[in-house]
Amino acid sequence: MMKKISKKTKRRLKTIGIHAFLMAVGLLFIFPFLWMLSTALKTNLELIEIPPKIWPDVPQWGNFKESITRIPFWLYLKNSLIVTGLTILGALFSSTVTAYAFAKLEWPGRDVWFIIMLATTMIPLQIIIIPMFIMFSKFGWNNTPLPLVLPAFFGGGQAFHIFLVRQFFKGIPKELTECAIVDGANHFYIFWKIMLPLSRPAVITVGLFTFMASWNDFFGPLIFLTDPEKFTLALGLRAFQSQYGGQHNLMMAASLIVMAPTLIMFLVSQRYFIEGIKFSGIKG
Amino acid sequence: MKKLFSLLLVFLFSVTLVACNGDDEGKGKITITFWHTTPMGDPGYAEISKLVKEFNESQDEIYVKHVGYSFWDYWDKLDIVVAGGKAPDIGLNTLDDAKSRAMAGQIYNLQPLIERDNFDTSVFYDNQLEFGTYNGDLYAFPFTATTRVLYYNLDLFEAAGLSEEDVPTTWSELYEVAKKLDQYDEKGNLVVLGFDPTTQEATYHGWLWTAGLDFFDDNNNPILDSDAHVAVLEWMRDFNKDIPKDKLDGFTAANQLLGLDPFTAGRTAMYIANDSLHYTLQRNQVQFRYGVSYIPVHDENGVRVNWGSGFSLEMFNNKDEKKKEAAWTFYKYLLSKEVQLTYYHVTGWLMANKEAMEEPAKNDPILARLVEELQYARDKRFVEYAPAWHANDFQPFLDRALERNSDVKKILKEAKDYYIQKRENYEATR
Repeated sequence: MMKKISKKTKRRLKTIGIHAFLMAVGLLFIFPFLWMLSTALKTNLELIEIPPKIWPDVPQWGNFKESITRIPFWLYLKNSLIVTGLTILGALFSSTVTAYAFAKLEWPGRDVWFIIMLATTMIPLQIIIIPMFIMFSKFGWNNTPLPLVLPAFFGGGQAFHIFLVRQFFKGIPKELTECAIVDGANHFYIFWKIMLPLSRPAVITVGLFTFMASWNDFFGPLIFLTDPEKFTLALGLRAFQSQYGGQHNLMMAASLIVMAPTLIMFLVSQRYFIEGIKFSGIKG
Repeated sequence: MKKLFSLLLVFLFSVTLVACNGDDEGKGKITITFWHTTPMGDPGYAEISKLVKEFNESQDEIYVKHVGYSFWDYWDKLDIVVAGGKAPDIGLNTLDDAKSRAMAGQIYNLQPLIERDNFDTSVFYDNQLEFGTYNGDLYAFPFTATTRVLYYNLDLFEAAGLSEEDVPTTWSELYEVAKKLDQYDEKGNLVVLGFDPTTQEATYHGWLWTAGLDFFDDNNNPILDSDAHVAVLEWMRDFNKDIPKDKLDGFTAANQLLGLDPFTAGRTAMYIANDSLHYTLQRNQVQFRYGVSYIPVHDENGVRVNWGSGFSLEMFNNKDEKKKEAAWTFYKYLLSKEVQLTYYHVTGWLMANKEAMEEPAKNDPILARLVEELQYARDKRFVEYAPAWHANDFQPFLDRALERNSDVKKILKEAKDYYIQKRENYEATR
C-alpha cells in the first residue's frame, strides 16, 4: 500500500517545483547573455559552423583583449563617461525641478502644460533630427558632445522622467510641505531638503534610466559627432560590423565589456530602482 | 550642495575641453574632408590612413582629413549632413542615383575640371560613367563596380553526380540541374536547396533582362502586364512548386535562424549573388569548393546580362572654390590605379578603374570571371518619379505574386497602375 505523503513533503515538493520552474524561466532569460558570451569566445570558423556549437572547443579569451585593442577603447570610454555623466546631471536637474513645479506648485494651465509635455514623448526622433542638426550646426555645436548633453539640462527627452518624479512627489503628503511653509521655508528649501531626500528611489530610477539611455545611445553620437576621437563606445562598437557581416566574436566581446557598467549599476541600485518603479506604477 | 556644484563644474570643464579639442594637423593648409565606409577599428582602416597620409605628405597646400563610418550607418549619416548643408568635401555614395543629386545641385559638375586637366576617363566602364552623367556632363565617377553572377557549390554538384560542365546556362537547364540538387533528410525535411530564383539578389527585373524584357519603356512608362512579363514572374513563382510549402518555409526559417546566407552555410547549391560573396567566402575560409558563372538566360530570347551597380565618388557642393580645387586633386588620386588597387585589397570591392583589377584577377580565376562579367553588367534605370522602383515600390506586389496560386496577371496590372499613378502625382507636384 502506498504511503501517504506528509504535508511537509508536499510543501517541499511544491517548493522544489516552483524553484525548478523559476530556474527554467531564468535560464530562458539569461540565454541571450550566455549566447553572447559563447560567441565572444569562438573562433571565426566556429562562428559559421553548422550546426552551431553551444560552447567553443577552446575558449578564445584573447578575443576580449583584441576587442579593446582594435578600437581606441579607453578614449571611447572616456568620451562615454563624460557624455553619460553630464547627461545624468542634466536629467536629474531638469526632471526634478520640473516635476516639483507640476506636482507642488499651483499655477494657471498647469495640467494642460503637463499633458502637452507628456505628448512630446510621441514625437519620433526621426522627425526632428534634421532640424536639430541644422540648429546645432548654426550654434557651432556639431562635432562636440554639447548636442548630446545640453538638451538634458533643459528637459530635452525628459518627459517620461518628469512624469515619473511628479508621480512620486504627488505621493508625498501635502501636510509636510504646508508645515515647512508655516515654519518659514521657501520652495527651494522644501524641494532641496524635503522632497529630494524623500524621493531617493525615484531620483535613482531616473539616474539609472538616463544612464542606460545615454550609455547605449547610438543614433545621437552618429549624427552629431564626426571626429573618431570624439566617438562614444556605443558608436565605436560598430567598427566590428562590416559590410560583409563583421567580426561577431570581437563585437560580442566588446559588447560584454560595455554592458558591464549597466549591470553593475543595476545590481547596486536595484532596491531603489524597483521601489521607484513600484511607486510610479510603471512597469519596465 | 557645494560638492554637487563642484562636480558639475568639473564635468562642464571637461566637456568644454573635449568640445574645444582642436586638430592642429594641416594648419595653414586647405583642409578637406573625405568620408568612407571603413571605420577606425576595421582591419582596413590603417591602409586607408596610409593612403591619405601619403597624399598629405605629397602636398604643400592641401590637407585631407578622413573619417570612416560603419557601412550600415554611413548612409543615414550622409543623408542627414547633406540635408543639413554640412556635407563632407568628398564622399562615397551610390552610383545609381547620382543623377538625382546632380539635379538637386548637391554635387559639383566635374566636366569642366575633366576637360581642363584632360583627365582620362577611358579606364572606366562606359555604362558606369553614364550613371554619373546628367545633362551630358559628368558629375560622379564610379569608384567601385558590382556584378551579379551564379555561384555554384562544386562539392554539392559532385555529390549529386554532376560536374562543372553541368553548370546551367539557360532557364530550362537551371531547373533541371536544380531539381537534381535538392536534398531531403530521412524525415522529409529540405536540407539542401538546388536553387531559388526569388532570393534578394535574384530579382524580377534581373530575370526580365535575361529574357530580353524590361520594367519600363524608353519613356519610363511601366510595361509590366504583358504576357511575357507575366510568364517570367510565374516561372519565378513556380520554380520550387514541387517542394511542399511547409518544408520550404522551414528551410527558409532555419537559414534566418543561422544568420548566414544559405550558400555560405552550404545549404543552397546554386545562388545568385554579387561579387562580394566571393570575398566573404574567402574570408570565412569555407570548407567547400565553388565556382561562378553568368546568370542563366531565357531559352528563346536570352540576353547575357547582370545587374551591376557600384559606389560613386562624389564632390559635394559646399560652395567653396578653394576647397573644390583641393578636393579635385585628392579625387584624382583616389581614382588612380595604385589607390584603387589598395582599396580592392582593403575592402574586397571590385574597383571601377579597369587597370587596377588586372593584377589581382591574374591570380584568382573566380575573380577573373567576376571581372569578365562586368562588361555585361547593366545598372537599373534611373526613374525620376520612382527612384526606388525596383525595391520598396515593387516589393509588396512581388511578395503577393510569389504566393502559390497567386493571380500574377492581376497583380502586375495593379503594379503598373501604381507606377502610372506615381508618375501623375510626381508630375502634378514638381
